[in-house]
This record gives sequence, C-alpha cells and structure tokens, in this order.
Amino acid sequence: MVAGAITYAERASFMLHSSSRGVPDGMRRALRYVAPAVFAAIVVPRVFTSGTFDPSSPWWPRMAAVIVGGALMWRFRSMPLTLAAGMAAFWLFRTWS
Amino acid sequence: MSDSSSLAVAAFPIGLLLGVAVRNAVAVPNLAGFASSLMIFAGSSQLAAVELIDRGAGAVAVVAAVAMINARHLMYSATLGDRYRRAPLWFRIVASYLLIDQVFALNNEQTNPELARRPLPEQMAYYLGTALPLFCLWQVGTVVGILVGNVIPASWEIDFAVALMFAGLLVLSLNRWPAAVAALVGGGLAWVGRGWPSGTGLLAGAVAGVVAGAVADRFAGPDPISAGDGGTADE
Repeated sequence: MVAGAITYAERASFMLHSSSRGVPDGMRRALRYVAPAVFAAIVVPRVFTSGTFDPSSPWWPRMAAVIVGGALMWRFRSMPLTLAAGMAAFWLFRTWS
Repeated sequence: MSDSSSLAVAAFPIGLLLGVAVRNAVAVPNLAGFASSLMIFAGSSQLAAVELIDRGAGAVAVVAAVAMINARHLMYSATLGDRYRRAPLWFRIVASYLLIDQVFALNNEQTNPELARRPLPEQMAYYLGTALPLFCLWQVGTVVGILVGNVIPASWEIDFAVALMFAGLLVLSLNRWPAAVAALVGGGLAWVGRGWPSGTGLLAGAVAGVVAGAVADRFAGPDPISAGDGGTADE
C-alpha cells in the first residue's frame, strides 16, 4: 500500500502541482527527450537479455524482430502492423536459431 | 484510435505475466498480488516487488525498489502536467493514477504531435479513452494469470510483444536528431546498468538520455513541433 501511494505521488507530482505558470522553457526543451530516452532504456535491455518466459532463448532473433518492427513503424506508423509483423518475424527467426 | 486498441492488447500479457508471478510466489497471497495491480499499476515494479517479497526481502527494501523503478513517472508527470495544467482537478487526479508508460507514449507531444494541437476537452477524452482499456485488460490479465496460470504457452514468448511495443513507440518519438542522441545514451546506459539493483540502470539511462538530448537540442536550432503546443516560443 505504501508502494502504491509512493507510485501515485510520483505520477501526480507535477500533474497536480504545476500552476498556471507552466514549466520554464529550458525544462520544457529537456522534457521533449523523456520519450526517446525512456523507451530506449526499456527496449535495449529487453532485447539483449533473455525473456521472462524462456530464459534460454538467444538474443539475435529479438534484435532482428525489433529491426523489422521498427522499420515497419517508421514506414507505416501502425502499431498493429508493428506488433503482428514483429512477432511473426521473431517466431520465424527463432526457428532458425 | 487503432493504436490505442493494439496497445491495450499488449497490456494483457503484462497483466498475465504479473498474475503468473503472483501465483508462483509462495510468500505472496493471491489477493495481495491482485491488489498490487490496482494500487501500484506499474508492471516492472510489481514484478520486482513480488520477486523481492518471495525472496524474503523486508518491507523497506520492497518499497524503495518500487519507488526507484517508478521514478521515471516523475518525468512523465512533468511532461504531461504542463500540457494539462488547465484541465480540471478531477481529471488531473484520475489521469495521474492512470499514467503508465503506454499512456504517456500515446499522449505526449513527441509521439503524438497532432493531439497537442486539438482542444483540451478532446485531449482529455483521448487520454481517458486510451488509458481505461489498458487499465481494464491489465487487471483482467492479472486475474487470469492468478486463477488459471499461464494460458499462453511459454514457448511463444509472448512477453516479447512488450519489447516490440516500446520499440515501435521509440521509433515514433525519434522526430529529430537530438532524440536519437537521447535514445542512444538512454539505451546504452540502461544496457550497461542492466544488472544494477532495483531498476536503477533503467532510471540512470532515462535521466542520462534526457540530459544528452537536452544538450544536443542546444545545437539543433528551433524545433518545428513546439509551434502547436501553445507554450512559450523557442528562442
């Protein structure tokens, strides 16, 4: 329960606090890079360390599938396509590994 | 809206993974495990908490780990809080609770620049419309995982869909070159720190990536995107 309260506090910190002043311009510039920095920090270890369900699986099919999914996202901007084709590519590459 | 529905589909395996972890953890009662999905509602920190409790870690260590892993939400909150500062209080209270990685991804300006140009009520509706399906499927996944166990064969490695989802979101956020700098630094440091305790590697990568992006931004000139957000103009 304490952990839940702290998590909520972290999420609410600026949502509830920020007054009509808004945030300083320098900070606003920095916050633009929250998305790429955090998402990369989430993805990279997940690709290079083994999955939760199968600790023995090699890393390269995941790497290849992420490249396929990323390329499709870049070209078509479609999350359903990225997930479907990325998973299909992952299973395909895995059978070769 | 198709993006939000496919993200919601990806929320199910996260919940399922959590449910299975709770089911397998001897020291974690099922009801408490499910309650953590309602109260914490943040996948990686819940998994870490279940694992720590099961290994007999103390309450302080568990709480500290959860706080550390979820510290990136401070940055999400700061980013979105600026956009929603004129939204009603009830919305900001509810939105804070629902602010998970995927919701941030769909509602921040970098991955979804069109949204920032729409009127505030539409932005609020979009926020809730994307967050609530995620929330529901997450909880359903947790319950199924606890009660039934793993309904998807482990050999499918369905949890990889979560990595794919974030990879896709990463691509969407790479709208100018300093963002690529942020991603390289963030991803690189998270890789170096992957073995560090309590997700500090992820946090270090995230913070370093934001700083690197901000430094690179100073050399990049004015940003075409910020024109629509109604905020202060670039210098």
